[in-house]
Amino acid sequence: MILSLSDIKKSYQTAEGRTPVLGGVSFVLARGESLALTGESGSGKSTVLHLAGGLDKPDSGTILVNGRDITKLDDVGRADFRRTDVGVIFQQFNLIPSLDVRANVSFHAKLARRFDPLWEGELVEALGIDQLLRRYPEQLSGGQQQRVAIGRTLAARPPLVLADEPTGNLDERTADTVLDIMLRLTKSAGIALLLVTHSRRLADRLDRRITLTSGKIAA
Amino acid sequence: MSWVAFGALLSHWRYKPLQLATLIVGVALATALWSGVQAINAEARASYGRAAAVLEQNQLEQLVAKDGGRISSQTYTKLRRAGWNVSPVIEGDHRFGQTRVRLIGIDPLSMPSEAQAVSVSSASDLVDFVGGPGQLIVSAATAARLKDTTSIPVRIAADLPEGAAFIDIGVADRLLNRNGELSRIVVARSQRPGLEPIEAIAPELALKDAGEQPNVARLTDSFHLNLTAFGFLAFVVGLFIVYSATGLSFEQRRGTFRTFRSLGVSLHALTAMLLVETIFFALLSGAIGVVLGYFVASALLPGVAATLRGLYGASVPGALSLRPEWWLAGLAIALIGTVLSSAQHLWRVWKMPILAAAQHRAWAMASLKGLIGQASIGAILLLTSGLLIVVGKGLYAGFAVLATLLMGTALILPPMLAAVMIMGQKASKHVLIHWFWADTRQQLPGLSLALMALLLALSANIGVGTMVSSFRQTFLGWLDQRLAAEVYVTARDEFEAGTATAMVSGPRDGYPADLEYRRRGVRPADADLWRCRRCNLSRSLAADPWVANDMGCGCQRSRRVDQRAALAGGQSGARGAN
Ligand SMILES: Nc1ncnc2c1ncn2[C@@H]1O[C@H](COP(=O)(O)OP(=O)(O)O)[C@@H](O)[C@H]1O
Ligand SMILES: [Mg+2]
Repeated sequence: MILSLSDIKKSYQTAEGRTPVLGGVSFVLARGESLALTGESGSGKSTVLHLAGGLDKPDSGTILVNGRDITKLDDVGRADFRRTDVGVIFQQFNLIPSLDVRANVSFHAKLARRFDPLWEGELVEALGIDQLLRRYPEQLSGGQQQRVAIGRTLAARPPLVLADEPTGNLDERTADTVLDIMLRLTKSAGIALLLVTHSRRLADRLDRRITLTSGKIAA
Repeated sequence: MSWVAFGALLSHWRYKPLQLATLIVGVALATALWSGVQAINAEARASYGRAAAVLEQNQLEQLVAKDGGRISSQTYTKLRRAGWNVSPVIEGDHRFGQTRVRLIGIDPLSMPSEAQAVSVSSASDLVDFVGGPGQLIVSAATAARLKDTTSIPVRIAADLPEGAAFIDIGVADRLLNRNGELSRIVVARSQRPGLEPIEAIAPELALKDAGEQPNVARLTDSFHLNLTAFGFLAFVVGLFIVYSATGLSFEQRRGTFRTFRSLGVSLHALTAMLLVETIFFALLSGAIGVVLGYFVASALLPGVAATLRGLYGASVPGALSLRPEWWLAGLAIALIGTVLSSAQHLWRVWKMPILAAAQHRAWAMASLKGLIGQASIGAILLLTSGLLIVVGKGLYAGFAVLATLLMGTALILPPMLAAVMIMGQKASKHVLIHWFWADTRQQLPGLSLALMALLLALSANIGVGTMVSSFRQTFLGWLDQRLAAEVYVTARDEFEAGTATAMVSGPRDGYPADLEYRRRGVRPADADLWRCRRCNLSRSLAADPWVANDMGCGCQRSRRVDQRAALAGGQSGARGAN
């Protein structure tokens, strides 16, 4: 088991007081497996991803990654965890504007000391961004930026990849291609994938699918 | 700390070179103005100290007359006889042709060696110095000015202040017409034990402590303080530029910082990298600033030196020397300034959550709270300023009043504008006008700093302008009164000063001859009589008192404008005997 969430509760402080978002979420993800997380907008999918990626802390419950409870880690421990054990592909790409595409792609891999030029070359080609390596993020379209963000995470080859609607900005055909590539690459590198999407069609192409409704995983 | 992350952090500056330039130029200019002013001050002070050491032998104790006058040579003899190891000095201004030189007449044999600024120790030196017509020991510049004005041989020595000459005391006595009266007596450090105390031998003398601050230094203190204050003001305005530049760079990299954190760069590492970056830029631009400051100071020093010479008669060399402590102080002030103006931004990074969503409301809240806090601090500063106006005294209190007033006003400006805009927004009915107020209000946080800097810069500009012009007016008025006269009258004693004053200001019966005769108890028939002090001839003069200067006997006084004479002239406008 690479990832296991049990009874995760999370609420946010808003102007109207505490608003519960997750009311006891539990699920598991096996090594190398791909899992689709679907749900309506605002149902808490991104929240789940952030918690599993060690970017935020749940109010209660445990999150085991590789058998280690990441809710118990301190700031430095969580930073180490984010660097080496997980890769997050954000909904807003979060590229570094002052670095060109090549530097952006290898950034996480170099931080995690897993930089491999051969693997990176393969990735860049597969994602179709090999012509864009010298460009800066602001010179790319949304879809291109998304592919660079995917490349950055996969280049670091973390055992677990968390992707937040990575094809949200792409047209249907490109979305299919990108998902194909992601699945192929994660499978070949033995990477487990948790993918948030609201598209049923895409979700069906993954190994398994779970749905978030009213703060819980529906069976 | 990771080099990959650090490199990525720094790549921002390659990506935004204009921002980099603003930051570096801001720190560099701030440092340059500040350290330039400091360099001028340091140079001037050092030269006062040097001059005092060389000319006044102020590293030793000195005896001066309590009444400020001269010391008779008998007093000196009494001290020597009592066994005191003392050395006489006669000093005064003497004119060689057009060149006025401060003569320092010393006795090379009795002058303690630690106070000997020039060496006349070898036998042949000694013979040259005391023998024959004597010898003037001067700086190279003074020697050039003295060329062909005197028959006394001139010797050049290094490290002598300009406009001063060492000479044998006998020659000085003769040139200055002192009849053996001394200006002061230098007391050697080593004395025989068990001597009769000086107060007992010569009660009319006062002991001046060694190392006392030279007179010029005290005179010029406020001048240098003013320079420092202006330098500091310039520095503060420069810091506003730096604050804006760092603020912008932090704001633009907010997303990058978040990405760093989410990819596993710890908060500690990120803050450390930003701190290193800040320090690196501070040192780099500080170094540029110090170099610039050196040029600023060298460009300004001749002017400042001329002002100091004109105002206080203080001699400051026109060339700047490089001092290591000056470099270090410049770098330190750049570092302190940059870190101070980055501290708030660093703090925000430290408090920033990784996830962007949590940011916005917190940001808005902080903004409102910040405005209220800012207004309170501003109000406190203004109150302090008002309080200081009432209770404060002296120059430093004045500066404190100005500082608190300026900072308080600057701090209160943005909250006040915000309040006005909220009011405007509430009062407006039309959507477009409503939007105008709302939009302007939204611009405020970004603009408030620039507005504050502008306010400070403007008030500094007006303040400096007013101050400089009022200073200039006062100075010109003063010059008009004392220096721009057609004729300068030097009086030898009080009576002469009185007659001279009466002559220039008084009606006809105040004419000198009249006074002179009245003093003698004689009432002359002709009130227009004037007696020349030099040749003692009396003449009848025309009604115009100014003509009195020209006695028709060839004893006309110099008409040359002479600042020193006028300066020493005190309030009466005529110079007392010295
Ligand atoms: N930092 C936050 N502060 C307050 N409310 C939040 C915050 N982040 C998310 N929420 C709220 O939590 C709910 C779930 O958000 P999210 O996980 O982003 O949903 P999804 O990704 O499924 O669209 C939403 O109602 C959202 O408004
Ligand atoms: Mg979402």
